[in-house]
Amino acid sequence: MKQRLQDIWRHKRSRYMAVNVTVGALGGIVAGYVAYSIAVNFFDFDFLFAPYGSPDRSSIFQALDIEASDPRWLGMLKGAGNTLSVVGFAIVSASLLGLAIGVARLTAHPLMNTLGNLYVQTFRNLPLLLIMFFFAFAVFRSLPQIESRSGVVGVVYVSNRGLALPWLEAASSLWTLWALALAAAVALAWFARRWRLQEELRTGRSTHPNTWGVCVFLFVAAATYLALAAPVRVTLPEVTQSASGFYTYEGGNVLGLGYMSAFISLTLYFSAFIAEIVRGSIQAVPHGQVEAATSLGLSPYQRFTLIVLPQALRIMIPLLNNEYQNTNKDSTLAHAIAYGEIVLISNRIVNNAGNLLQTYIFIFLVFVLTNLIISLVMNSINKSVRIR
Amino acid sequence: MVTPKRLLTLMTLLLVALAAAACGGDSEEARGDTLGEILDRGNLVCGIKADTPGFGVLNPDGTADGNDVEYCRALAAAVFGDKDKVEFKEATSANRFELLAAKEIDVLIRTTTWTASRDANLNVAFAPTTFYDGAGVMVKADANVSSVKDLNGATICILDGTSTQGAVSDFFSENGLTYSELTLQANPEVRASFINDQCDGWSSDKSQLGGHQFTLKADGVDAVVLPETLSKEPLGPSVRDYDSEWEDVVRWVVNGMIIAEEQGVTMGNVGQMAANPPNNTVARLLGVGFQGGAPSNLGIGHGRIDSTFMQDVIAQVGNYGEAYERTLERVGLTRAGSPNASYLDGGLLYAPPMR
Repeated sequence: MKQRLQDIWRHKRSRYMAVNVTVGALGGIVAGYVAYSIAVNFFDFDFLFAPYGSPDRSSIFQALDIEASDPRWLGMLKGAGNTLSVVGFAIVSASLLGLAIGVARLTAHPLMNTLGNLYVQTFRNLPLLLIMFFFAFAVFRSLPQIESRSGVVGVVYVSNRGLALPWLEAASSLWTLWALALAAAVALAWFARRWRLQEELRTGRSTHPNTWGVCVFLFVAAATYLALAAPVRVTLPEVTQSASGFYTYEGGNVLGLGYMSAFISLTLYFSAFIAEIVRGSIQAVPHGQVEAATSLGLSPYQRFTLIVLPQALRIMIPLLNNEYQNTNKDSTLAHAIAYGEIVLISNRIVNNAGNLLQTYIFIFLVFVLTNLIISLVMNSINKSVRIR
Repeated sequence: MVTPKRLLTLMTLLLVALAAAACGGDSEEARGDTLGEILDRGNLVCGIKADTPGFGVLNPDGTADGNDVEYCRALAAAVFGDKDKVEFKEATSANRFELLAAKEIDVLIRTTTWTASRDANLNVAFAPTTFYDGAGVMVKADANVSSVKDLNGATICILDGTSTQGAVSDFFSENGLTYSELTLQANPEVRASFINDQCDGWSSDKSQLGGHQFTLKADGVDAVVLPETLSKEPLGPSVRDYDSEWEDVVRWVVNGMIIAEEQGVTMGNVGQMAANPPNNTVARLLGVGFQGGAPSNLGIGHGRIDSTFMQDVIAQVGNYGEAYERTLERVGLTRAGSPNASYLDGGLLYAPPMR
């Protein structure tokens, strides 16, 4: 009997059948329970249409500021937008900083090397929440008062109420058209660059494809800007005093302390990990490749950009995917420093309406979706750099 | 090969399943018996505020002070005849209702405002109000303002997740004023931001502002609470829905303490009053007979707690006024002339009869 059981287990088909039956049965039970539960207590989504109740202006884009009269569903969407607006910028800045530090750690220069190492060991070993608290409560609280007008007067101000920067604002309703024109300009520039590259391959002479791309973009952007009668203008921040003596920023864009702390902390923390990925990936390229490139007479710069980096990218990208998804997920910690990201915004709804389940399912979906998008983008980049 | 698309479908299904499962548990809404659980466990678990002088301060050694804390002790005295059979747990403004719904605490006494949306939507039932409060705004004494209406363009610090956020938003928009909000997650952070001029005003319930004003003064920061009251904030204990026996105990301990004050029953004279009650009201309150008659039994707790429970409460904690005197009066919240005076003195405090 025991022998027979072992035979069944060793047989590939029967083993697969056992897995199929188990998974199928479990799936059936779950599906049945889901159907039953939904039938018994149908989800109530009415609470989503009630007003949010209090404003939240911790966003960096005016369009994402939540007004008290906004319905709750809009508040949650704007909260998701706030999450994306910190994660997006943090991913870009952490990647650039990480690349610089990763390369610094590989140079023979002892000072650069030590500083890079110190940076990585510091930020990789600190909890992210602690870094956020440090910036929100220690660093930003000790910045100068708003009435001191610290910064570059008329351009940039920094105070313990936030960082005020010059920003763009719509001068006419044609700005949407100009945004479309910019997208078209990017596409045109890309085509121009590709055409020049093909020319270069055909003729063998340098045709400056990158310069061409940039010039095409600038030309289209400038031409449409003039054609649409300057649809966007720059607004500069100003410190103003109200009738009863309170100081506020007017004009420009104010990056609040919540956003700044979250953005800086995510950048510092994840750049340390990215630096290690960069360093490891470059070191993983076999040294023979460099030697071969040297014997072909390539310069050190050419060796790095043409031989080492393309091969290192192949190792790097799946690992970066991981870090970018972590950046996305860990941005939720910013609710502790009251940045209006999705969890904070949703918790306020839960505190008043109590529909925790529906609200949290929305949060789950936001993170599953955004992480899948990050995955899709990284996978397509991965495909474009693989060996064909 | 698991493609992202397939993964998404799978995840969605899983989420719906989880949701349905959790929801299924939610809907059962079976009748709770918290009183029985407390008696079995041998102590009461009370959710309080950890950082608000006068209402609830949780000390590092596990002891606690404050008016809310006095009501926790009164409940322990009513159930066990011993005011110390109570364990305190910190409840924050963000997690308080979850702590209660998850049975981590038996009763929430944590400056929680009784509102219609909370009553209707959360698993919470409100006992009588122990403190009538309202949102206000505090500014530094050197700010040149005398009314909240002067605060146009100001930045205001508010604790996140509180009903104050809505009250401030309503008041400013109704009066055509603008303001910026700086939200923070805990009172010590709000305090530091206020001291450092990160905000011009600090908005919270007026009672709490009074407590903070008191401790700020000790640190050399002079602040004034502006006269307007922006909202109604009746604060009191709350318990879970569908738990009426325990809710009755909580409700009538609070009412009993208010009646005790009306009748002049105090910590000092309760023994004497029980032996020789001056009238029927006091006799019923203390569960004794009037002029040698049969002892009264109002049925609170249906025999599971002593019918003389108010004797223990008053002997160990005192009446409403005595608890107030020990805690709130000490942080500068004057009772006389406030809504928290007895209805006999022109206040709002009025308890239904115990009979």
